[in-house]
Parts: sequence; C-alpha cells; structure tokens
Amino acid sequence: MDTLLEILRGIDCDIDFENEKGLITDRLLDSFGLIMLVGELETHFDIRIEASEMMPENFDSAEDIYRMILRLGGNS
Amino acid sequence: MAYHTPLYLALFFPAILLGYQLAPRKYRWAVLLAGSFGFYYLVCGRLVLYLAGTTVLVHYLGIWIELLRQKSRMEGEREQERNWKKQGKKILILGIIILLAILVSRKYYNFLGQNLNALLEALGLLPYFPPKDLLLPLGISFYTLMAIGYLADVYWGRIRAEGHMGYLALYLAYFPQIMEGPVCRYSDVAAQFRRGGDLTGENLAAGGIRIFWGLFKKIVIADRLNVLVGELFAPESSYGGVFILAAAAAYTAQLYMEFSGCMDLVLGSSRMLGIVLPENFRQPFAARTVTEFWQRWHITLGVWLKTYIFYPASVSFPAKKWNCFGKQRLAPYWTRLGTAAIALFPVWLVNGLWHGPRWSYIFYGMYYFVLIILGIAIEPMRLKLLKALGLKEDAWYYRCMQRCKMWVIILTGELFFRAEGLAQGLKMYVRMFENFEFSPLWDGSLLNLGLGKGDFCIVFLGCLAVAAVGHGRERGILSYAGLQRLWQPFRWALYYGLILSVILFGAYGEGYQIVDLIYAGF
Amino acid sequence: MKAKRTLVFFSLLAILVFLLSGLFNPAYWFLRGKIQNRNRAHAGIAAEEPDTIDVLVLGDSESYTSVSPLELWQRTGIAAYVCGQSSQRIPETYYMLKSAFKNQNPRLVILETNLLFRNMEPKKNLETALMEGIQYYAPIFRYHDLWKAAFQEESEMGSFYKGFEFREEVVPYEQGEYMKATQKKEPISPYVKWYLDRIRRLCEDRGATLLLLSAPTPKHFTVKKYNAVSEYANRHGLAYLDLNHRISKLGIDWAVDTMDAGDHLNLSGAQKVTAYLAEYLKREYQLKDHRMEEAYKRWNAEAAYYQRKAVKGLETIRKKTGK
Repeated sequence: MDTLLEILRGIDCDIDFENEKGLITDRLLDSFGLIMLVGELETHFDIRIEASEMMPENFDSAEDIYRMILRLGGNS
Repeated sequence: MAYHTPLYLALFFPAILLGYQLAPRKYRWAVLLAGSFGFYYLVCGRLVLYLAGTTVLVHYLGIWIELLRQKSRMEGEREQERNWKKQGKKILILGIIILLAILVSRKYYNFLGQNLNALLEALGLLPYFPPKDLLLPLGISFYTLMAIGYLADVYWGRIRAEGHMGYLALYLAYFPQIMEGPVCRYSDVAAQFRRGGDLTGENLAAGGIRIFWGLFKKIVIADRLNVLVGELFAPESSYGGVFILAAAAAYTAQLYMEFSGCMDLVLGSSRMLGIVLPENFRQPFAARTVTEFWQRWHITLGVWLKTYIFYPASVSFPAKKWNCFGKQRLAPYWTRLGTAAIALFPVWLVNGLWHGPRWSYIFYGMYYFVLIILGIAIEPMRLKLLKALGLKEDAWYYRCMQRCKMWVIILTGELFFRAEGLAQGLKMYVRMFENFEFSPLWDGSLLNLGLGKGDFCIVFLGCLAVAAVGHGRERGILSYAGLQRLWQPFRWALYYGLILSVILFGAYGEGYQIVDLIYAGF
Repeated sequence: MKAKRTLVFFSLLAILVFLLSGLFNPAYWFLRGKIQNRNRAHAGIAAEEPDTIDVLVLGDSESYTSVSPLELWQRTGIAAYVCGQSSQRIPETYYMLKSAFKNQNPRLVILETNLLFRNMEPKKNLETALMEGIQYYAPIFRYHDLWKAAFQEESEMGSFYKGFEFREEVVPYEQGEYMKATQKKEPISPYVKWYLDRIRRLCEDRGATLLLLSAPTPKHFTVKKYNAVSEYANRHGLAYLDLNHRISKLGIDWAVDTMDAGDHLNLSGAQKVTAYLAEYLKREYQLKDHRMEEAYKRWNAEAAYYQRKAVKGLETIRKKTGK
C-alpha cells in the first residue's frame, strides 16, 4: 500500500490520495495521469492492466486501486 | 418528422405519452419499442430493416460472449480463462467488423470510392468504383456506436448480456435518441426501461419546460440564423474580411443552439416519460482549454471515445512498448507526449471521420488533435511563463484570456466544419484576412444577407438569454430544482415568457423554410 | 391541489394567447401593408367590410390569375373576392373558407379545380392539415411574424385588386390541342375527397352554392381531370363550369393570353375569362348589382383605379405581341 501511495504522489503531489474517493468521477486525476499511473503500476507490481480494467470503480480511490492490484495477482 | 415539428409535438409524442401511461407497467417498454419502430418507419421507411437486423445480430453475439464468459467461470482455471478470453475477443471483433462494415458500406462507400478512384487514376489505371446513390438509415452513426459499446461492455464483464431482446431493441431504437443521440451506454437506460414507472406531474412539468427551452433555441435562434449561414457559406459567394468572421460566429451559434436545443427536446421528451438520459452539453463556451471544451461539447461522444478508444489505445501494445522504451531512453516529458499522441490519434481520427465522409471532417478531427498535443507539449513552458510573470491561473483576467483564446479556436474549427469541403474552408479562411475592417458590421451590409433588423435583434437577445441561463447553470443556481424555489408568479412569468417567445419569434410559417436537424445527417 | 394549479396555469396561458391574437389583428396590419406573403388572402378577406362579399373564389395560382373581381364588378356590380394562394392545398382551402365565413356570407363559392389533383406524401398531408387546423383555431400561429412590423418603416397596402394578381408577361403556348378525348378519370385522392366533402357541407350549412370551375390551362388540365370532376359534380348535384372546353367561346388566343406557356393566364386572358364568367353568373345565379349602394362606394373607387392600371397593362401586352 505504501509503495502505491508513493507512486500516486509521484504522479501528482497535490492530491490527497489517502482520503480522496473520487479520483476519476470528480476528475481529480486526468486521463493522462491515469495512463502514467497504469504504466507505473504494471512495472512495480508486475501485473497487466487491460482495457477491461479501465473503469472508475477501479481507480476512484487508493483502496480501489489496491484491490484491483491484488485481484490481478500483483506482488508488491 | 423531427422533434421540433408539429407532427411530433402535437400528434406523435402525446400519443406515446398516453399509450405509455395507459399500458400496464409490464408492457410499457413495448409501447416505447412499438413507438420507436413506428417513428423510425415514418422517417425512413424500409430502412428500418437495418435497425432490426443490427438488433438481432448484437443480441445473439452478446449472448454468445456472455455464455463463453460464464463457462470460463465454471472452469475456474487460468488456462481456461485465457482461452475464453481469446474466443470472446474474436466474437467481439467479429461483431465490431460487421457493424462497421454496414456503417461504412452505406455511409462511406462513395467517399472511399472517390478517393480510391483518384488513386487509381494517379497510377494510370481506370477508376473502378462507380458512385452509388445510397440512403443512410436514420441514426446509424449513433446506434452503431451504442451497439459496439454494448458488445464491449459485455466482453469486459461490465454488464451482463441482455437476455430479453425487447429491451435491447428498445435501447438501440429509442426514438428520442435515435436522430441525434445522446450516445448512451446500456447501463444508463436498461433499468429505467424495465421499471416502466407512472408519468408524474414533476417529470411532465420539468420535461415540458425543457422542451420549450429547446424549441426556443432551435426555432427562434438556430433556424433564424440558417438563412444567413447558407448565404455566407454558399460555394459561389465571395464574401471576405469581417463577413467570414460573421459566418463562423453565426454558424457556431446556429450549431450550438440547434444541437443543444435538440438535446433539450430529446431529454425533455424522455424526461416526460420518466426516463433520464445523459447530458450532452455543459456550457461549452465556458471552457478554458481544448480538452475541457470536449468535456462540455457533445459529452456522450467524448465519453464513448474515451471509454472504447482512448483507454484501450492507451493500454494497447504499441502504447506499452513506447512507455517501456521511453522510460529507458527518454525524459518523462517526451514519453508522456508520445503516449498522448498514440492514444489520442485514433480518438480524433474517429471523431472527425464519424461526422461524415468528407476530408473537411477528417481535417476537423486532426485540427483538434494537433491543438491538444500542442497544449500538452507547451504545458511546462506555459507554467514557467505564468510563474515568471507572476500571474495566477485562477485570476479572472487569465480565465478571460483563456476563454477568448478558446472562442478563436472553436470558431476556426467550425468554419472548416461547415465549409463545402476543405478547399473552400481554406479559401474562406484566407479571405478573412483580406481587407479586414469592422465597418460592415454597422453600416448595414449585414442586412443584405437574408435577415432584417428585427431578426438580428431576436438573435442577439436570444443568445444573451441562453448565455445568462448558461452562466446560472455554471454557478449551479439554475437547475429545475432551483427554479422551483423562485416566487411562483415570477416563475410563471418566466414560463409564459418562454412559451410566448417560441410562438411569436419562432422561424416557422410563411416566409421560413423548415430546417432539418444538422446532426441527424451525421 | 397540483391539478388545480395546472389548470390555472393553462387557462392563464390560453387567455394570454387569445389576447395576443387580438394584438396581431390581420385586418389592421393588412391595411398597413405589413402582410405580403401567402397569408395575404387570409388577411385580405378579414379586412373587407363584413357581409359585403357575395362571391368567394378559392383555389391555387390558377384562381388568382384567371378571375378578376374588379373586372367582374365593372361589368355586373357583383362583389367577389379571390382567396387563392400559390400552390394552395385543400386543407388550406377548407380553413380559408371557414375563416371567410366568420365575417362574410357569400351566396356563391367558386372552387378552382386544379388543387383537387394536388396531393403530396401522407406525412406532408397530415402536417398541412394539422398546421392549418391549429392556425384556424389560434390565429397567432399564422400571424406571429407581425412583431417585425415594429422594426419596419411605415408602408401602404399596395394594390391587391381583391385577390387578383396582375401579370403582363407573354410567353405563348404553342403545343396545340391538349384536350385529348378519353373515358379515363384522373383519380382524386381520398384525402382530397374528404376535404372536398367538408367544403361542400360547409357551403350547404351556410346556404351558399358551390360552383366548380376549371380555368383554361393547357399545362395542367386534361380530359381525364374533366371526367373526374364531372363525376363528382354529378354525384353531388354541383354545377361545374369547365372553361377548357370553351376556349373558342372565351376567345382565348394562346399566343397572347398566357404568361408562362400555358401554365397561367395573363391579364389579357383573365379579362376574357372574367367577361365570360360575368355573363354566366348573371344568367345562372341571382346575384345583386351593388354599384349604386352607399356601402360599396369604395369598390367603385378601387374598380376605377384597377381599370386605369388594367388598360395600361393590356396596352403593354398588345405591344409585346403586336396584336
């Protein structure tokens, strides 16, 4: 989880990732930030994020992202 | 028949409302489906078979994909899951190819034919593709997108395939959205169709007001501007200077008023039935960047492109390869730029091309593509410049400047969009800078283009009213709920003003032509 | 509570619409020259003094290029008015008649038959019928554009000649005989028949006689159409005057009397038709001669003005054709 938060802060240090619950639906994280995040997550957690995963449900908060990582079999 | 014609407003739609309310809850979807197919048949006759055929195709493909997915769940192993994924993907791609083939064959055949012929001739060969006179099935550009979206959502497991063909048929054929969208996802409407709720006073009132607001924009402002726009963009015309600026402004106003007005008619009609469709506009002229503009203009098309083209493109093989390459060899700035270009190029190509088989539309798409990439490219420099000059991003003067910049960009884009072909667009654009003076704006020459003093007055006042309402909406104070909080006589006065404005100032009757819906032609 | 409020809302709206219709009075604005489009006929008949018109002529452009009320007045003192519109469709005819009956009590209604064979696709037909009905019951929809009068300069009515339109062009018709004998009948669509029946019944209810008239027009008229109209007229006991069978009696010369190669008559042709019609009406119908009446003083003045213009117009035509 901490690695995740570090990565997130690397994308945009102005967002409070620990508490925000609407990263996508409230447009806090824009499309490009999302793509960069996907790239980082794939490298760091050794997972493959397909187009089917690109949904608000998977990216709206740090918890959502973490849950997705675990589901895709990621090892931090 | 279209949403702003008397046939729809006074006969068809009231009949549907009545039928819907009188039918038992279980069958209300059937009333809507019958009405939708009836609407389709009334507008384009036998072409309704295309819609029916697409529905059947999508229904069975969707179920097939769903069955494969369920089978893999039962097997449970990684190996089987991958097999299922491969098979399902093949079916998805098959479906997309068939749907696109139908669309391309009817909409783009002549365009492709012309260009291939030109290529053949350039190579010294004989042209092979004769032009055909093909009628376009109503809404094919819209319902094809919706069908592809449905299949993709089923494949991705975001929704379960619809077992009941009637609901799926209604999703694709639903008459308020068949002509000009909004482009819906199945999850937006499925539950609402199933519910079949009673008509309520609130829905009827809110929908009714919205319909009149849409009529105001469409038949008072947009249709009135149509004569002016037609005159200024006529291929044989030779207007220059400030007239081109007026042409771009007039067309942009007409397009916005008509399209957003039509959306009001559509969403209002649907609201009266108790079904809420997604918004397509959110005060687009308040946008400060190109990206923001496309989050406010034709919103549902943007969402569709983002969901089904942008994200898949950004996690596609080329994009990931570039990301890897970039991480090892390039500064993050260049990696980011490259990823953006790879992901955005298909989006804007499709956006442009979707509007129609013309080079000017492809140009339109590429125009915005270049602007967005440019925006990303100069972003760090822009921030440095702001810091150096001590300007704040949120300062009112900076926001104003950004909006003015956006208006220049939007007007230029629409100039090319409307011109009769890329060549004429370029000619007009160049002519604008010859002999540019502001004086024709007030020396009366604008009155020789088909509109009189009274017409211009109404257009200006109308645009002002729409801008005021937009401003209120932007601040969040002018929603339907907000209206309810106003003092009743004042609120009623507003309603009466709106209804009477439409009756009095509408561009209908003797001396006016009926103006078809622009986006229904896409 | 909610229902009562809704009722009040719509009642108030209806009252507002009604008041607006009063503001946009067609007669008032017609006399000030503000109604120049196809609605002229509606407004014109509304602007006539009530109960003065004895003969009403309806139809499309054939009607207002063939029958000249002021010429008729000159010869017989019969007060006629032409409520024709270009490309008039039969629902427009029906509601025009209904509107006219509001202020007038014509003894004779003449219907030019060309529009009986004008039929469009069902959707357009429905839309026309719908719009005409709406505009009849709520005239504000027809005259809503009058708000523009506030932006225009003062203007005058201009010459309207009781619905007749002046044409001085001459383009001869040279195709010869067009009445080819046949037993066949041109079909009259059920949609047109339905409105024709309603027009007939409306005339009966108001005690007016309906006369069907076919103006001379080689471009549009055929014996097939004659047969169809005759059949209808016979079935319902209506008089039918077909001028295409009486070309020589009328004295029509196709080298002189048509403005567009047999589509419409010009002033010269219209004069001949009106002269014949004058005799016919005097013979067949008891219509009053109003020339000495106080109430029709203005008619005499307008007829005199018309005659001055007509003489000049005929002179122009004679010059163009050397006849």
